[in-house]
Amino acid sequence: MVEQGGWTYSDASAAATWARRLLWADAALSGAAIALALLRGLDPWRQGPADMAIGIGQIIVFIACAFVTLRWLYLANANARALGATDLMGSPGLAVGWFFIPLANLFMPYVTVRDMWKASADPRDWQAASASGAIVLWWVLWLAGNIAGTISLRLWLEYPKEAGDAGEIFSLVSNLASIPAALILAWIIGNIQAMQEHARLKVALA
Amino acid sequence: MGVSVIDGTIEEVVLRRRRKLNSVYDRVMFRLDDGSTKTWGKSVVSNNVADHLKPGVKGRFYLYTAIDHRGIHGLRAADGREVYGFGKQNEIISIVIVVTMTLTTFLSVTVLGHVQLLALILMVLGVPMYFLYRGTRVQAESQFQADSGFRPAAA
Repeated sequence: MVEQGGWTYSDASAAATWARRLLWADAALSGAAIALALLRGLDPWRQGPADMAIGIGQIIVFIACAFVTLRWLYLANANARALGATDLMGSPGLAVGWFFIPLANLFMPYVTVRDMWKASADPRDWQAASASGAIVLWWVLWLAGNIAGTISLRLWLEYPKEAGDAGEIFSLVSNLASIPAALILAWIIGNIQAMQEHARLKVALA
Repeated sequence: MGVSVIDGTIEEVVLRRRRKLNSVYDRVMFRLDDGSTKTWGKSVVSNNVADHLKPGVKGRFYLYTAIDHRGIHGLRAADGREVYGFGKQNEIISIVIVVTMTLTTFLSVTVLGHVQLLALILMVLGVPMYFLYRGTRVQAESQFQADSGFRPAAA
């Protein structure tokens, strides 16, 4: 059993696997939504049952994906501490909590994931480690997708008759950003998980 | 959010900029007694402490983290030097945010008749931020004082 500083390493591989699968599903559904929008010539008034089915699917997958990814984030953050990473910011609970704190959720989740990458690469001296540039890319795309999606939703809710093309374009931008954001996050999760398992083996064998 | 210590020798110091009251470091790297290294990343240090952070200085170093800020607030060197310093800038900024946003919210409700959402969010977030920064400073002071009997082994 690997434990340090009051933290015990627990197997997060199942959560990582499911998080990645759901992120791929999320990307696939975003791709399907884009294809449908293009097939009807970006005309929002020609939306049919297929668009509705994709939309409902996106909501369900997003909720499941958020739950599993945040569960993995909690476990991986605790595991980084169990592997010997000291002075990580906050707690595993706060690593998840940042996503729900207004304004802080614009940059703190990025800082958390960046530090987790570094802490997984070299738990003993993680502040000297470097993080992958893909994390910045993921975060920029994630924010862009969310902002565009929120604008689209607000347009449809507040100006249902006038929103028309503008709402459709923002929805398209949201889906376009969501695909690479989901795929990059899946890649990040896979890498952090692999680095932690490698570090765990090293600690266990030492 | 917390305090910790490093017992070791400073091996490398990379200063980003020095301001009137404090210095910002890209990194300070320590060589620990077991031969391994530990790096303290981007950190803010009061100038009275920063003046003593030079390669080769051996002793116990007192560190803090608060939200995404980290720093070095104290040093007990093997040659007998003892120094402590903790900037209050973040506490002051937090309280200024709380006061100005409370006034903005009050004025927007009484004069404009509606709530400014951004001001309200900043007002609500400013309160825990203030107590968090203040709590870290108090914790750092207690940590340094509680360790007053410690004398690092001579180099």
